[in-house]
Amino acid sequence: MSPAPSSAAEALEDAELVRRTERGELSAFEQLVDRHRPVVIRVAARIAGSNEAEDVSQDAFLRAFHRLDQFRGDAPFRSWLLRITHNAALDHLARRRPEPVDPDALDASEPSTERPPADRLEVRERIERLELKLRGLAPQHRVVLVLRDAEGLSYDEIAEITDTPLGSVKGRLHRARLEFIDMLRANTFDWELPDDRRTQASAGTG
Amino acid sequence: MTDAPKPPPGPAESRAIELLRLVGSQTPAISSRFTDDLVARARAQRAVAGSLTAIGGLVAAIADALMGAVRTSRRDRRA
Repeated sequence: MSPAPSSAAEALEDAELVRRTERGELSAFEQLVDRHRPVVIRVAARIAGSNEAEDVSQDAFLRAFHRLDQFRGDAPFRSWLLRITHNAALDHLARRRPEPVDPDALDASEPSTERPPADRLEVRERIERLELKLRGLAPQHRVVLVLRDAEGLSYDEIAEITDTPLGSVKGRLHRARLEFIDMLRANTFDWELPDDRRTQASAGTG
Repeated sequence: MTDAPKPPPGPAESRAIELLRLVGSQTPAISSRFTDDLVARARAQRAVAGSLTAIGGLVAAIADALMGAVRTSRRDRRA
């Protein structure tokens, strides 16, 4: 998880970079992009799908660029940008034909052309399977799980990003976790994989 | 902060959160030209927007001038 750029110093810098961009300094915009690109890419990927992440992120940054005069600075720039990213990703999903998720495909993992170390490969493949499961959730549920549990944002920030009352965010998160747990239980491959402690314990006894 | 303390999540919920954190730990790979392409598009779109604003201003000025000419012409005819 990336560190949240929510410190006062970074917020001040963001505001300064926004002002400079508005004055026409594209190098300032470039710095804003470099600073927030990872979280924008991750959120776009988890809402709209990894293959769409780049397009959605470009769209989100360009929308932000043209609306910088609407950034009032009363919320962190990251929240404002993620709100635009969230909307761009949902717009993208709405334009795209609904993609049916085959429950039988949840265990499938694509063959890899690279040969990274086995543990990294295993983690990557597990993440791919989890992303596939996330795509099976309703978009609203997917969004809160991504923002809260994957990205670690506060309820306040999620309410701001999704333009949803705080109580609704908490209720939606609860229902989303239940739905995700049901999905994991329906496919026990990842759910019952031994965790590190059990692996170490069995290695120690062998 | 509104993240009030609440009962700790059960094992299933904890496991789900743990797996979602794993998902959040990885940023998908993107083109190395992502930022360059983005800034180039922003520059081009800003230039187009600037041109459209200039054209819009020109059209508005021409319309104003025409309206002024029409008004003057009517006044002259009445006189």
